[in-house]
Amino acid sequence: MRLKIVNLSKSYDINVLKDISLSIEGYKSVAIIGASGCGKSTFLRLLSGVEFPDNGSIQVNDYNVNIDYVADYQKKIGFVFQNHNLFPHLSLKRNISLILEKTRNHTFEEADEKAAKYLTQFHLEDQMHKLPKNVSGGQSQRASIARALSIDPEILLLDEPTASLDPILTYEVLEAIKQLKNIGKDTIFVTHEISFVKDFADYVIFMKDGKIVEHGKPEILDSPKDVAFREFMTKVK
Amino acid sequence: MKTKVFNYLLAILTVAAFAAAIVLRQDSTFDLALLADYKGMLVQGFFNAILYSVIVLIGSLIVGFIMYIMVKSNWGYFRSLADVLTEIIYGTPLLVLIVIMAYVIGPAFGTHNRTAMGLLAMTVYMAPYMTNVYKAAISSISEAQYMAMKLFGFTSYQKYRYLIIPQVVRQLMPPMMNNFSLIIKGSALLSVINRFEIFYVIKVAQSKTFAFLEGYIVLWILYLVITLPLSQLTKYIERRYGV
Ligand SMILES: Nc1ncnc2c1ncn2[C@@H]1O[C@H](COP(=O)(O)OP(=O)(O)OP(=O)(O)O)[C@@H](O)[C@H]1O
Ligand SMILES: [Mg+2]
Repeated sequence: MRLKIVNLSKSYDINVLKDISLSIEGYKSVAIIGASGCGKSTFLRLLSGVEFPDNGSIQVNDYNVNIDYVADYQKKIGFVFQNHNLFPHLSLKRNISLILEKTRNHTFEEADEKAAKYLTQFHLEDQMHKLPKNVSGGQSQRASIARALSIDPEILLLDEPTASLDPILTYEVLEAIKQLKNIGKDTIFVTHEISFVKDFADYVIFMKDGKIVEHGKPEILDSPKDVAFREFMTKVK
Repeated sequence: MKTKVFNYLLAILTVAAFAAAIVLRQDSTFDLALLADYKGMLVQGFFNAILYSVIVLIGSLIVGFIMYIMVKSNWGYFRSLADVLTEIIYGTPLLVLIVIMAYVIGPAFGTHNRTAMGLLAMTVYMAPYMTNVYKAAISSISEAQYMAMKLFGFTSYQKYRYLIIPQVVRQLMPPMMNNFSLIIKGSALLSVINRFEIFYVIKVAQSKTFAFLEGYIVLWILYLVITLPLSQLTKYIERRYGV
């Protein structure tokens, strides 16, 4: 993927992102790590175009992420949220097929079939008629990944897909995400699972207090230069 | 499932046995036949109770929604107004509100249709409760869900049609039905201003036949005939559509 970010900043009542610039090219899975509250989710939201920066510009592959083009861009991205965020009144299958039917011009039958196919791919064939509240957290999160993939995105954004899960469910979801590598989608993900970053990412971004303080190939995890990064690594180990 | 049915049967039998014991311990005998002359009026009163309750339900859903919009308004004046009205209504007994509405506020606007004013009083009385129902239902849709709707590219119409309204309605149903039950029971108070209200009919029948206790028993049973199925329906809806 190509990622070009110039002087990006974003404030709510406080300054959350502070003049971030970054330009990388040729990587497939980029991990964003950092302590809680450093602005990772905000950064990801800006990358997805659901919110816009106060200043600066974002380019992802061939897309300028700004108000004028965002609708086209968003057709190309899949987003997996910190908490699965499936629509609670729809079955797992309908969560997917509704999107395909209403926003991607599929007929009902096509949408239904495709939804079943993606859920099966994530081993949810027995669960797909259930409501999200009636399946486990790991299953919901896998369904959420299936949903993000079903629209055949060019880029997949994942915000702590295992945040609310116990270790076994976390393993389950991370295994599901590893399948993505074989599919060959561009992925940008936020996580606290450092071993997963090592396994899966080919580029790592470390954030602190709304800034990118260090970035590079996953090897930087073994010998962090920045003091805060080093401290972070000793804590998460 | 089977034990649940069994437990319910047992519970109902317990209550029935208790009722039977109470009946057997009475000194006076009950003669429901005393009220036979009033059967027609009672039936009319019964249906009026339902009709009035439905009117108040619909009215309070509408007024409650208007108050919800006021509460969520960007204009402080509307928020304050909603707040003041809510506080007054919360502090007022329904009976007082009905009488004031029918005999003081109504005439001030030139209307002596007491039934209409009574229904209006009940509507106003229930509105803040309905506002709360809306608040809870609408706030149950998280920011993150709106974000998902936007990201997947739903149009505004589609958002409301397939995602927002279905969820809000599901959340709305059970508490709304509970309020409906409150309205039905509260409608007895309309008897102070309306001659066709069932409670009024009973009072007349009581005074003519001296079947005082019988009157209350009949009334009790009639209310249960409405409210018990309603609460079963509410539970069913909750199970079937609950989120
Ligand atoms: N919509 C918002 N309105 C106001 N403040 C916000 C908003 N979103 C985020 N913030 C603030 O921005 C800061 C960064 O939040 P963000 O969610 O991006 O952090 P994070 O790195 O994802 O944290 P975590 O690891 O806990 O998810 C926090 O202080 C948060 O309170
Ligand atoms: Mg976050």
